[in-house]
Amino acid sequence: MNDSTLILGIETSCDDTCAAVVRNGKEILSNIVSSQNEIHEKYGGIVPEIASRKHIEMIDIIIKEALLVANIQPHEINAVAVTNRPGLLGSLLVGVGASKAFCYYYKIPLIAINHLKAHIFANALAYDSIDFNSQQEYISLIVSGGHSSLYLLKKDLILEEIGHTVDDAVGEAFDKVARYLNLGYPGGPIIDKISKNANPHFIEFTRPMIESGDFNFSFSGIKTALIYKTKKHPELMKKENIANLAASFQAAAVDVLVQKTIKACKKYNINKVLISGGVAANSKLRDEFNYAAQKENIEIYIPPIKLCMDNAAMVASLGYFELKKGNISNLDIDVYSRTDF
Amino acid sequence: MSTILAIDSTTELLSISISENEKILSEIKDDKSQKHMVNIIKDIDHVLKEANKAINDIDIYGVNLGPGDFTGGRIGISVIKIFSLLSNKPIFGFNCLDIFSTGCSLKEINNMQDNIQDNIEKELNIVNQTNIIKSYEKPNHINNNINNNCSKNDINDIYIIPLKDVRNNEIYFNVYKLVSNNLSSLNFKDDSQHISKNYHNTINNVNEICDNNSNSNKAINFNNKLQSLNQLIIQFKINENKYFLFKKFNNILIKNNEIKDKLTQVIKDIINNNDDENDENINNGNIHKGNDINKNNFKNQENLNNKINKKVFKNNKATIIFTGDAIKSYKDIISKLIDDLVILNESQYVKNKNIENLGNKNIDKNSNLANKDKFGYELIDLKIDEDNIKPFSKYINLLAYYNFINNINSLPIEPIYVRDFIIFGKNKDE
Repeated sequence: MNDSTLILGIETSCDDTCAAVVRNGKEILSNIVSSQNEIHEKYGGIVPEIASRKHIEMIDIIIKEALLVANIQPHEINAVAVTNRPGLLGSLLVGVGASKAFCYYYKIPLIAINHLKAHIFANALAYDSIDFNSQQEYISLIVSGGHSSLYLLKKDLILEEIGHTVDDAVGEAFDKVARYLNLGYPGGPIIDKISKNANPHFIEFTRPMIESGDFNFSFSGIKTALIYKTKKHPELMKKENIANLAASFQAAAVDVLVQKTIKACKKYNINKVLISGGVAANSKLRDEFNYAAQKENIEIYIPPIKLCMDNAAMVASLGYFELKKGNISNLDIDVYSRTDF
Repeated sequence: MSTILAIDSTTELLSISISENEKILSEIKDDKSQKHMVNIIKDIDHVLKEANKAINDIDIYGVNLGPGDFTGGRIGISVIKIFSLLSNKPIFGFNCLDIFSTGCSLKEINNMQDNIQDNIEKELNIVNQTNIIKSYEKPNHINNNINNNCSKNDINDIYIIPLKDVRNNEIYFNVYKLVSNNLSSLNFKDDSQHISKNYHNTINNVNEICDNNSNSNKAINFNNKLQSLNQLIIQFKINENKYFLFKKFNNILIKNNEIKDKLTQVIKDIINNNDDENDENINNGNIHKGNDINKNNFKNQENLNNKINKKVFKNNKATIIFTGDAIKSYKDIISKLIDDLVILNESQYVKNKNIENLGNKNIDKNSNLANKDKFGYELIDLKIDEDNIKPFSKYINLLAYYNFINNINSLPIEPIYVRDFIIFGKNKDE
């Protein structure tokens, strides 16, 4: 492998059609995201069939755009990295089909990527100091609309899950609460915004599973507590209280994430934490983690917001590291809605 | 010479083929597993190797846009789209009804050719404006045979009704007319050039029915007066004969409990030649070609002055063929429909001696269905084409080649959905 390896990353696991060109796993030449938020907004959540329909419309346009912006000719690409798990099957197969065709056309390697693992590699793009080739181990928290899990990232890029949500993903809970409070979709950014000037101690929700002794989460419980509380006391749903309710929910959810992550650091004696996923864009979460980091002497890495969301640059970045390790896929790979690494 | 790769992945059978112009070089029908995602590249590689081609030898891509299996269809389309992007070569996408009816047409043409003379080596040419005269060298013996043996009356009008089962208790269908046109039996000399020239430059006067091709692929609800579309889908030239396949209407979506009534009505219309007016347009070369976005040239009326007496084309006999996958899933309904049509026939006299397949039925002019005030066919054969229940890729090769040589714009390369996606739960717009 020469000193310039160009990877085309393709990501269609959920509702965004993404393509990116990344050099040597670090340098983003292009990172194109075609968001479908506006389309799904009116349904208050992602509709898988609609997502698939948009992907098939956009896939070639987005890939072309990524190559154009990067100013790279298609034949200069050294390998294609594509998310093939986990995600919505109808969405995944559009990206994987396109990637297979690309690789077959130019006879270049295909690298099948785990979407969750790719989220962690958004940090490789954001921080030069992170070197995935070293023997350093990390605790990694992935928080998004579909996932909320804690991982141990061991040497040789091996990922071990140490905890996960037992019900809703944290982003999903944000969406559901936002819908209940009639705030719109997507819930995360809206709740984040209105909570900024609101009282997070308006209601002190119990932190579910905080003493469970493991590293699993539950977010559905906080959501349900909020719903019951407001059903019982309808006056809480007054307009002036909505922001306070949202802020209280957010404070509880973030608190659980921070506490469990710190516990994991202590148990595994690791002081570097990689946070990623769409919910890592949440400002409360960023503040609380930075605060805890100072207190506990832990290094927290959170990528910039654009790299927290689903994107293909992170897929290309992980693709580079997998390629270096020789983890190449055949052109007969399938797509999977779930995965255990 | 154009090399064409065509894919249909909208059914459980993955069908991929390579052709050079209209000649199929290799073909795979992979029914071993439903894992199109896993098999597609391997199968493409297989047909390419068999045809002794490489992927960058491909000049034209063709794909079935459906309707069909959502998941499977998207796999084929995503692969083809990227090949086209990287090679900068065109893709042509087709409605599955066009593919069914092309397959059925070829089979019928072969049957007819057999009737003319068994020993003729069949030769398929897709009619091309530029090479129609020069590319084909008339073998003398064939020419003579046709002149001697084939009179106008031996040529049927053929109506093909492809029925696609689109689940949800619905059927998607259309009526296609295959017009056979024996060059030696026509009253004018130069019809090939005439028609080729005209369908490039003209648009039917009733073109408001169909502004562009994507419209013609949208399903419409069946109503009593189906407005004609008469979109030319493909032309073949085999031996000395030319064949034109026209799509009669916008594609139609009906409930399965309407099959009997609606199809009976369609057949009644055919028997009574209710599409006379449209036939006149066809015969005058005044053909609406729905795909042709370039409508600016529609001033070329001169050629239309070359009026042809439509009776030259008037045939006494027609064949109606049901095809497509719904003839399997709704077998009972379709057979009952055919039986009922024949029972309506007052005269049990079977005029046609050429019925080969068991189950072929016919209706004659004395039928209750026939409107005696109108000029209709005297005899209608009814057939079911059970061999053609998958939109095989080799017919996409032919359609793609035909569209390519005639510079017809393709449909947008996106799956065709027969109905709007309806979400469960509440939509804020509503």
